[in-house]
Amino acid sequence: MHIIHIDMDAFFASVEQRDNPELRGKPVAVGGKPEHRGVVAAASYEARKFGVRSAMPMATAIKLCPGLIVAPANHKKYREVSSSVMDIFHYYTPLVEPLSLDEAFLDVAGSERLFGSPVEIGAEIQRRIKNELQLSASVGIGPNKFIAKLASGYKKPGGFTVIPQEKVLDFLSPLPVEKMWGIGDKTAESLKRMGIKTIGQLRALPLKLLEEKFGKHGKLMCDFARGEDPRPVEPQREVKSMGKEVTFAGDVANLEELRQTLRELAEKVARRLRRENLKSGSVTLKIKYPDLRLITRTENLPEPTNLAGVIYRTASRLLDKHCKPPVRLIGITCGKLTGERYIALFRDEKLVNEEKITLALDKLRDRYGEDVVKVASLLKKRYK
Amino acid sequence: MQFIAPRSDLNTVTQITQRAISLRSPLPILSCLYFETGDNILTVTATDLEFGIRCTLPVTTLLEGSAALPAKYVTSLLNKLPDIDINVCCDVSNNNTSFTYGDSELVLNGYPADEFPRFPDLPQTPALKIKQNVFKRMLKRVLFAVSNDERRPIFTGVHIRLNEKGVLSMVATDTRKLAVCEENLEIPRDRLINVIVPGKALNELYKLIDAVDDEFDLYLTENQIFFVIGNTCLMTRLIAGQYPDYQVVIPARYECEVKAPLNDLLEAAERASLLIDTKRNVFNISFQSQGLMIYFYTESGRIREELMADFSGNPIDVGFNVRLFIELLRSMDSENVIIKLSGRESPALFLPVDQEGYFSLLVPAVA
Repeated sequence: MHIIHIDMDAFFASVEQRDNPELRGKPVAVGGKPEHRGVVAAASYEARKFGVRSAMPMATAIKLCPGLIVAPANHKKYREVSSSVMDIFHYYTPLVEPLSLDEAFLDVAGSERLFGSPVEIGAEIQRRIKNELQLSASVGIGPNKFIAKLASGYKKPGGFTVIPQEKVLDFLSPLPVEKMWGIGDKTAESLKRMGIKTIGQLRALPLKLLEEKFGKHGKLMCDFARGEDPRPVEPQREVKSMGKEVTFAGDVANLEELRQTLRELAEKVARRLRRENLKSGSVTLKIKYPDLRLITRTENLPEPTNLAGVIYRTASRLLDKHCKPPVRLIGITCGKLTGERYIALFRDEKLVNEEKITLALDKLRDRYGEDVVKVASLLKKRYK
Repeated sequence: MQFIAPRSDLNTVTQITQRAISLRSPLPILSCLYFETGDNILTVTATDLEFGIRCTLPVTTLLEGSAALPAKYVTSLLNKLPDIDINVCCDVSNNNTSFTYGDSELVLNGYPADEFPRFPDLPQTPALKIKQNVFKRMLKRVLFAVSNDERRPIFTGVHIRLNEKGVLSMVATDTRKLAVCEENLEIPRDRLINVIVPGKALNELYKLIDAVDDEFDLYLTENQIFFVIGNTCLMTRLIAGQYPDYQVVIPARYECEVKAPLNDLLEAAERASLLIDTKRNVFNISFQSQGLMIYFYTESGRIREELMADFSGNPIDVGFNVRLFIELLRSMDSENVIIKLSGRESPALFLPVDQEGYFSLLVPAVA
């Protein structure tokens, strides 16, 4: 019992309420405006009482909860707060696996002599988050990741749930199968048709039957139902791809506007690649049409890159080839990430120049902020 | 147009010309073979003006004229017709062409022949006459290094030059590997050559010429090159631009040098290549005083190969892309190969032993 899962309660919304006293005690949803087809990124507990959930269209949220206060998202601030939270975690163990800005697994085996038992460490972290950051977190402690995560979600907000090994099976048995990691709506549906509603019932099924029905996944389900999870806490999970996307306020049919959006996305993704010292070997264009049909089209690059220009030109080529506007959402994903250095006998002069320019611009951005310099096509037009 | 010719002769010329048909032609007329009869001569042409092949064949002409027929149909048809004389006749009123064999007849719907692009004219005199086997050997040594990335067109071609001393040279690179081949033709030339020829066309030429002593002719215009081998003419546009000077990328100094049996090295690399997976395709070679050690591991397994080799210099451990390494060795036909290393991140030189005039560079892969 040495894995701790910590989940910040209504993270974005709580940060807004903390920094903005008028919002406290009121239903708040962080996210885009309904008239721009915004979605809820996070909802305060006051708003959740009305059924407001994350990823829900803001317009729906307002219907459910009249008087809902919509706060614009301030991701820069959330990242800063998140890094303070992660700093607290790292004080107790180097084995911290962040799942997102607001949750992480900690493996504290080996930290006992310095900081006490996992329960003591979990309690201290929760207290420090409250005192130092005026934020609330839910803590779950268990023998593995699966159990720890279930524990932190057991009581929210401000929960503190400990599930020692001997209580694991009793804890799991009454839970609905949907609570299990890796069981989505579809799997749950087909289990229900077999009359299986709880994890306890699932556990009673023979492995063979699960494997027949769900293939490889069946074995995993069988392990989880017994409370077994061999996955270690991995501090640096390998990044496989990096992407950015936007949903437009209104469907966009103008190719020029789509291209400009791609340019913007490419700049952001490329900057992130350079920050992480990675290069990308393929560019994927993602398009969602007004009827919610989603297409992705990928092109491999002749040499791995972290240059916005190359990523943009590739995405733009894919756009010309495959896109039939109007479009609801557009995105770029860079795949085949590698830290490998690509050596070439004859570098493309244009790329060498682009690299030099990018390097100089990055220095400016590091010093004066992201918006200090940008390509001319992304300037907001001042004159008509 | 009407003529009579044996099926097998017709089949041979259409099989050769159809190689110039591009599969993704925007215009239907360009996916056609063009037949033209003159004075007891049939000319069959395929071209999209970038690249083309033209063959001639003696036939019995009954009526002079022309026809344009979809290459896909006409080639498979001639492949299947009985091995007798075929009477081919084009009805200009509707562009249909009939193939009469014995008492049977097959009619192919064609396209207006006058819409077919004109095959460019050859210049008066050839720029070079050269033995087929010499040219073929040179091509083999460099073609593997040609790039197929259209985004940098220059590297999709082979840089062919003939200097005033009569030395013919070919250079190809995709920026990770480079091959250079020179042949002294031993007759000083006043007609110099300096062109970049698309690798795609040279690959077709490679199949057309044989390992024989017979000569063939090479003609040049401002932006086209023609290769005339007997009754066959292959034409391609040249790639415009300035080919970079390969001399600047040849290392000035080397860390060490090994001499090893080429075949042993190739076989070891081929065994290693069996383990390649999507994540790892770079193997390491340790160059040391006892010889070479190749080692490689992937999720599928691991391999270690020890090879005896003559070594001099400082030991070094270098990574290479396995596939590129194999391609490069396969282009060499000597018994032994000398590998000179200039560092973990700078090009390695591959030199065949006892074979003058060609070498290759391969860039290491760095993780």
